[in-house]
Amino acid sequence: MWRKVRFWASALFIACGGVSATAQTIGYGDSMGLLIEACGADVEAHCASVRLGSGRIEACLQQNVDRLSQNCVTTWNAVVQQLQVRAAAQEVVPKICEADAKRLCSDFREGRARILRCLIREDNTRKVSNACNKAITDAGWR
Amino acid sequence: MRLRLECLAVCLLPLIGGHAFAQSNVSPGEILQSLTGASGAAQAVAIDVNAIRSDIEQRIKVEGTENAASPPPVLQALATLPNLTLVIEFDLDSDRIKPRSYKTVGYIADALHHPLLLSYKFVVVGHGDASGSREHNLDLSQRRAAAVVEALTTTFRVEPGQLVALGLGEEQLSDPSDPTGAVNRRVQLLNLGPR
Repeated sequence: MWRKVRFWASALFIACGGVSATAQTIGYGDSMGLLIEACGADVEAHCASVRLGSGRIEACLQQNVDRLSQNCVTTWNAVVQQLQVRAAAQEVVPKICEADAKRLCSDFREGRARILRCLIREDNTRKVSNACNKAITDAGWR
Repeated sequence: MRLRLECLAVCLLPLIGGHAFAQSNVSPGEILQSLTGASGAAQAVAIDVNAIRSDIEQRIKVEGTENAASPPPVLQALATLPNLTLVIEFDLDSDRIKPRSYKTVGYIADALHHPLLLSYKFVVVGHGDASGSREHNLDLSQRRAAAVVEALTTTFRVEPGQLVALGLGEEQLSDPSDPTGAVNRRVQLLNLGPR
């Protein structure tokens, strides 16, 4: 049931333009900004002694889901989905950009961070493939 | 060069007794810029948080070391590192981060996930004001720094090896002329160099 609510809530949020499906993904800071704007009052009302981290706030919101404002539920689910999209994008960049990295970053020493830094360099933006550039944008590394 | 000068100003002002530019509204770009440093080739700095803590615990027992003009020697080495001072609000006398500060913690996470900072290690330093005993403030700031690290490494998926927590209590006031002022309650991030 909860999954279903999540799905429709996310679809609605995206359809309403909260976060456009084609726009850039959003990161943790912006997500938290949206989340607290929508759920701040609910967090203080129902989770007043709950500390951020280790899934405690999420568990508390879930326990009180029937008491949360609709806007909070909608935003929360959309935010969770957006964060998953960005985390997934960060995860796949090395693979999507592998050929570009071999071509452009051969003088770079091994290491994920070094290669990523090479790929996001401004002078390489025009040289890397569209797929790689898109993955870097989705990863929030512009 | 301009970037470098701005960074140094941010790094050094708190040490010469000026007000730290503690920010509650920061952009991810500002965090990245402050923590990257100008050289981009910082040497790894070894930091033993337990040693620093016991050094401060010893110091607290010595009369006349309150609000000392100069920081403990062990901290002076950290003072030149690329750093950023932020305001993260907590409940009174608690390590619970107020929801209105989640956004700031999230922006820190975004910066730490960026390739420019991915291979660096950071220390999250908690500072308090001088209300209450020094021992209590040391303990509270340690728990608050740990709370920020926990949120970053769980909710925001920062690699645990990228962060250490250090509480300094009231030992490094931002404004010694106003020891109980809000300006002293802040969280600092220091770049310890490649990990």
